[in-house]
Amino acid sequence: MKRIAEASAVMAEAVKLCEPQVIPLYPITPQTHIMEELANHVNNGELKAKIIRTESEHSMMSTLIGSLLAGSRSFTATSSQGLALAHEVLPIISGLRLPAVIGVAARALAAPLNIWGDHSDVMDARDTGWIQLHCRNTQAVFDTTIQAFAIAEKARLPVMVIMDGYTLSHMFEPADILSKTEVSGYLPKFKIRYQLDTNKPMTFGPVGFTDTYMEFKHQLKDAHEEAAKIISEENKRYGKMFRREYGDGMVEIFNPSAKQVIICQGTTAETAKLTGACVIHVRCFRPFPFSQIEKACRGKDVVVVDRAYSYGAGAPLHMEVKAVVPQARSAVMGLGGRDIRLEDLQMILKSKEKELWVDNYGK
Amino acid sequence: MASKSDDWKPGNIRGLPLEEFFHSGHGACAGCGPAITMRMITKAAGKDSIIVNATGCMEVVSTKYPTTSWGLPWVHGAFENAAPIASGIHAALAAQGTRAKHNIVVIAGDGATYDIGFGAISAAFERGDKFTYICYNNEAYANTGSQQSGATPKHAWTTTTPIGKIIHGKEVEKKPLTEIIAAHKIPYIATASTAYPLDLFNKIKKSFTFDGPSFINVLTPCVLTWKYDSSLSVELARLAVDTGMWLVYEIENGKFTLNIQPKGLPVKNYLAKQGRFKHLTDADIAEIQMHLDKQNKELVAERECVNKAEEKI
Amino acid sequence: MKAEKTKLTEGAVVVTPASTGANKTGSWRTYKPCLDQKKCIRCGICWNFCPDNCFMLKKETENKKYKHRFEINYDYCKGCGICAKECPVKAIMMQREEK
Repeated sequence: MKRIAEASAVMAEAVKLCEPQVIPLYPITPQTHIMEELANHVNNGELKAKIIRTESEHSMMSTLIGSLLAGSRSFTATSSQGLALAHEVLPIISGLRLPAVIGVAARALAAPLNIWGDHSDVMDARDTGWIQLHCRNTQAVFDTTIQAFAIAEKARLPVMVIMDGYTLSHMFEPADILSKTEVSGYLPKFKIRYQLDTNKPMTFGPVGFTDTYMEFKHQLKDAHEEAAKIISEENKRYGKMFRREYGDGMVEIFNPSAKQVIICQGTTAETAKLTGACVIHVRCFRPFPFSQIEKACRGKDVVVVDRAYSYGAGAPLHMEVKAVVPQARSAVMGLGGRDIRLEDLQMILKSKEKELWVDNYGK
Repeated sequence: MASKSDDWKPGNIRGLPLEEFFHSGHGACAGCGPAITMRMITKAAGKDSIIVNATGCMEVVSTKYPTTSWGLPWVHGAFENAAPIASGIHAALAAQGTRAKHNIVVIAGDGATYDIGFGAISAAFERGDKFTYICYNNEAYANTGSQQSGATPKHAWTTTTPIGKIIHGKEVEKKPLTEIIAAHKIPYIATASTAYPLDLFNKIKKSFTFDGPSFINVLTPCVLTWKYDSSLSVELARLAVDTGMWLVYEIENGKFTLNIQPKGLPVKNYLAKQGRFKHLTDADIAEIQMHLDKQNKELVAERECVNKAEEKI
Repeated sequence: MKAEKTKLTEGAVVVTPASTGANKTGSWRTYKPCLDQKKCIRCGICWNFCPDNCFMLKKETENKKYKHRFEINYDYCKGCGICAKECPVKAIMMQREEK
């Protein structure tokens, strides 16, 4: 059923349909609408879940360890400083191989304080062992959230479902909302491999000495390679059932015959489509779709749009792309909520600069 | 303490059951007070318990992959988040309708409890999540090599409060954590000592009967931090109680009971046996004694005042 | 001993409870507790306070007064001396480890 709704509410609706049993929450702009909607669903009796109102994102993320290990599907959401505060818990969750799903309304990191959208927060979390899926519109938020639970539970890895702060999180668009029966037809019942069980006592989170730690990290590397396949499979399975697919699940390529390519993530992709260039939307940043990007960029003029920066090195998406597309140029845009306009994207296509910080304010 | 009984029966020895859930082969120091306490806690918790352990000595010495000393389901996340992990377990089991079948027990040191995890504990107690939080309190960050924590007593040597030419040991009083927790008005708050296993055992058992959070603060000596001969762990845990350095009490639904009356031994008896206090002058010891007498008197008087007010209502 | 990646459990879960037994901590010992069964009154205080759970409860066969006796598990005893210190009848003596 088509509905016009804010992307945050749409994410909450998707979560509701996936029926998590535990939802820890803590407010932060611009994610708060997701939490508020979920609290409404629970308090109105539409979703039978336990809400845990925590005192910080660190605790919020930590409750997921307990609830998932005790055998309950769980969800939470955060942004920016919140994700940074919870950072310590992120590799613990992936190291324990827990299928957490969180929503991230991506936002800039202080200082100076800035509540608007960019990808600084999620790029800061890119090396924590989580799967990172980006959404370019409201419909994608709905579909990706539901797929995320299936992917997390199959890959036994945690997933971040990322939407641009404000430009998507607060965007009202029409979206097709599936029914409860449709979602339960797609999403298998929650299960994890190892669980806290008094009949079969196990120890979770032991000390890995120098003889095992590296092997466990290799396990995580292997799990991400496997996850790339699972993401594609789930995208295809979902597409078959509901007639909506997101490229091969890892990347979406629009207007592939065009000679120039814009590589980007999130809502920028929707604007970039209007340039007439080929647009590669990197839906999945971790695991990273190197081969798909390399193949789509052969012999082409490529510019990579980043909404984050790795200081002292370069723009993070561009750095990944450059590993397989040496000719790729870099455009840093939209930090701290600065607009990314059609004319700015047209300008970067024309530019020959290797790295360009697009200064378009008031122009 | 000698038993008059002419035979030893399981379940008879100071009431502790035979079944072990914290097993031999762990790497705690010889004479480790917390290791004794782990055996007692798990015996009281029993086989239906899930343990959440904060980062610290007891976590590190017992779980070198692929082995574990624990015979109960056990989870360790990080240093400061044992309480929210317990909240997550509580919520999940409640959602699944199996909460009543389990005890959830948090085991955390004083660094995790007084300092880094404090905000998270406070929030879990505000929410009223049902679990028993046990702080094994050796008054320092022993796992990282004896640094001062909020639980370190005034004057004590630690590696971050060394005995220098100008400054001697910790300069401020310890945080009154048990009283701060009591201000949350959770159903059950208690203190205990490793030297009194039956008292500890009964308190843990009792904590499971409340429909809400419980907090038990157990004083347990650390050989390396307190600097004493390894045979004295229980003796010091006992002396702390007998001198009034550690009051053993409980607050059950607001009602205070002093479980063990201090014997009024001079505090010097306790301090003199520990290397961490060996720099103290007679004047320092007199100051500690004076402060202690005042503090204990005030705590008991305040609590008894609350008891009387409750009775009137 | 280097671990084989394929044999490691997923997420470092330890699936074998109570499995630190292979770590024979008795090798740390420099003083050894010796229990005089004739003096022992079977109160269990040593069992109670042992950090390493080294007091094993065995059936008594020699002394008709008691049904059980304690024996010390030297595989794990670290020789801390708490048992000797706490024994109310001084039935445990600490002796210099010879080997």
